[in-house]
Amino acid sequence: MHIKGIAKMNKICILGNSHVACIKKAWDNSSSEGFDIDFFAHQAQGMQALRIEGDHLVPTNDRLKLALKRSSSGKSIIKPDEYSALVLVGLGLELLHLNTLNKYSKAVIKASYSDYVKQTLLYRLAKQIRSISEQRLYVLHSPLKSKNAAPAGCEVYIRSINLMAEVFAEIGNVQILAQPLETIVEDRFTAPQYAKSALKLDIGEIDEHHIEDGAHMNADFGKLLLDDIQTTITKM
Amino acid sequence: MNPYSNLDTKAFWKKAVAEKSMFDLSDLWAPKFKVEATQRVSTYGSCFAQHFGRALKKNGLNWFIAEQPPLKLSEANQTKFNYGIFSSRTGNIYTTSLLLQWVKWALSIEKPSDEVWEMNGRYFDPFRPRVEPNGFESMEELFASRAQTIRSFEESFRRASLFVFTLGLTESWFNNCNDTEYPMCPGTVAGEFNETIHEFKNQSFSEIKDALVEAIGLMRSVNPNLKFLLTVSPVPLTATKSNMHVMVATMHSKSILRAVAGEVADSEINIDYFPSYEIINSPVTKGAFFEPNQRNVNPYGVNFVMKQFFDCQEAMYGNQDVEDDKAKGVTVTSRYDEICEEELLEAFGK
Repeated sequence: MHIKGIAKMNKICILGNSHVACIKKAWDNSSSEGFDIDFFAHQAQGMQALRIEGDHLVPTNDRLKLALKRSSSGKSIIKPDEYSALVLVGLGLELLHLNTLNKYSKAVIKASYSDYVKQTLLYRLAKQIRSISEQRLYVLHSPLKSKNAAPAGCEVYIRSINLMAEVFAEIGNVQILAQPLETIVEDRFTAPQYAKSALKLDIGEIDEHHIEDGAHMNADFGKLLLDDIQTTITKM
Repeated sequence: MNPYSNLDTKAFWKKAVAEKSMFDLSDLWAPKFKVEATQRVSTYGSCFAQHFGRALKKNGLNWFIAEQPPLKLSEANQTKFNYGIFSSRTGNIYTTSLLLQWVKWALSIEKPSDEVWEMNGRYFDPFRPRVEPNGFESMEELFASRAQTIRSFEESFRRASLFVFTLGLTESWFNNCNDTEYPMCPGTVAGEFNETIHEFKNQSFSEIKDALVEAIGLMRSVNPNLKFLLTVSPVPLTATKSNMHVMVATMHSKSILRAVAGEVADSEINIDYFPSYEIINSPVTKGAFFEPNQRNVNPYGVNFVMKQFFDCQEAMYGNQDVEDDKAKGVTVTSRYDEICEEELLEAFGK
């Protein structure tokens, strides 16, 4: 556990898959005050093995248990009520339809998002957490794929994220956080500088072998996400 | 010797019908052309046409859906929003004149109507009143969606090898100010009926035939090799505005539609007629394929019709080399709720 600052303390839980790595790295490098963050992460769909036990989330296999311990520096059980807010990251949630948004009505896109979101691990975890805790819950989709493209508007992205926000609002007090707009190019990609020296996880720990797969982002991207998370939670 | 001496047994009632169980009826159709697994097949028409596309897909044929749903939209929501019902989201096309209207819009021969029906702050497309069950959010969204459907409709006949059309009704409703045709009487599914503007027309044989021939000609102007398969819906009218008894009106309509389909199909080699209407409605099948309301066709009836289609294709052209051979001969195994605007008329009965 990292505690930075002693003023008004916001205790946050960040829970996700490999996309947590860039936020964790940014947190390790930062000097943020007033926040206390626990990270719980396992790459890919590893978090599927979390189950509810009382008012806790517990791992049901040794591999996830190890990942939780490594990523949180020792904890293998997640107690949502210990946190003022929880943030779910990635976990299979992508932002769809950015190329085809204009072909469909809002009702159709919303139905499609709803159908899709309900199949994701992120949604299942959000429902699990909501069933045992009323704490603030935020979700972040996996970063948009990176592409060398011109910085253009974010109009389609914003329309999409607003539609997905309506789907999450239906779960009850779940808010979607947008990818920082300054990282978005051509309305649907992440600017390539954020995909250089990107980070992934190896059973809960940051894999320091940098990658460039266009899907994972680096600590600079993580810093922007972290700032957004902190700003949002500070405002609440 | 006489002209009947060497005819096949299917030409004689005794051998072909009287001495057989109705479930053993065979050779009901002599297809004029093979429907290849690789050929794109577009389907449109009345409610019954919906079964045709699904059966083609189930049997490994290439049902051409030109207007695709968005990624991840569930099957239930695809049906709700009219994706995968026909080859594009036109909704039911009950009449040949409505088919012609869509073709003219698709080829920019006529400009689509700018009429919109507003209800409780939502906007309904008079020409596809049920594609968005709760209406569109704005007129702009409605027009953008219709433009997409018109583009997809055009693609569905420009890029297809076979266009299947099921003729459904002779009764129709027009706007006499701009001569556009509605799929449904205004004020039923949506909109408001205005007796000075909205005009009923029970179309004649020649009107129906002329519209069909013109629609076929226009589609072939961009796709000269396009083949056509015509069918007539066996489903009786839900209601009639003709002043006839609904049963008499049904027989009147179906007889005309059957005659038009037959005459147009007889006119050339690349237009065929498939007798789904006869299979369901002939006294030979004793109405057994209808649901108890004697209107809706039971899934067994749909299966039987489509089995005849594939059996007759196979008898004429041999085994179809499809990917999923297990699916052959099997079509609808459970009840599938048709998207059928016309059925809503029932709600207006006394």
